[in-house]
Amino acid sequence: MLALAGVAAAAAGLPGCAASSRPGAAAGSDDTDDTLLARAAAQSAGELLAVYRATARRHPDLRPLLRPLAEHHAEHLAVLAPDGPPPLPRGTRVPRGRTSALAALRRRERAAARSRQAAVVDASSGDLARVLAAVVACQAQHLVLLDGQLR
Amino acid sequence: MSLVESLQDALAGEHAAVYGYGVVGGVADATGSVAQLGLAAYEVHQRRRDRLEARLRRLGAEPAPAEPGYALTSPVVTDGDARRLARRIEDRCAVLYAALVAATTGPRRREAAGWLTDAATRSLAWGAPATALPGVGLS
Repeated sequence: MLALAGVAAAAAGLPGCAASSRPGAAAGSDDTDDTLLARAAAQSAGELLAVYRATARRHPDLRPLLRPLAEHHAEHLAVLAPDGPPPLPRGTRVPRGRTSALAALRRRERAAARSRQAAVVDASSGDLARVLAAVVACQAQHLVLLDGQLR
Repeated sequence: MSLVESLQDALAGEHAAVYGYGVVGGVADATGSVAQLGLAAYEVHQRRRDRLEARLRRLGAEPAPAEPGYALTSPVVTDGDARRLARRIEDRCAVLYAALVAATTGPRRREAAGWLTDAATRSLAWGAPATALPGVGLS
């Protein structure tokens, strides 16, 4: 998994990565756009990570379900922002009720997945698109698991 | 990897998936969830196989045929064996779909990404744990 870290960032030409070594890569707006897509995806992963952690703190009975999912977002963050994650949001509000808390998580996860879905097609780099598509697939798994608890 | 290579790889995966789900269907108790999930997946992979063949032909390439048979890593006798085989099929296809995402653009890429998401949720339905980067973390 570690070997993968930075794939998306390298593909997106983030600072510190040798984007120019990418075959056929032309420095220019495509790289810039991909950098922005990777950054937005990292931001989103960081926000979701914070929400999952806050929800697990507020609802200890949900920890066994939420911990592995939070871990996935941490992995997304590591791949999308290998040079250091964006600052995680603080003071995330979590509904008191278990069902409301799960429903709130589900809404956020779904909204994030939709944004990433659009980014998959917008990405210039195939490698970045592949990572973003895998993030979307992971989020679809999360939605299934959250739905299973909401039923 | 070129587009045609990625399509041929994905097609080879669909041939193996169709074969594998045939084995799953042969094991399953006809009324069980394994049979239901297996039949649905069998049809999905058949459709993808046909789409990939058609696309390769449009690109002027000869679609690779199915192998006469596929070696199973272990005997498939019980429902549990069938579930494990189905998980392996979906996880393997996920890797090929992820490669297809990288090799395509626009609507084709959106379709390949949809297949990747479908493989990830199908694998979950077969009892696999959720993973951070389906189709990418495995490769």
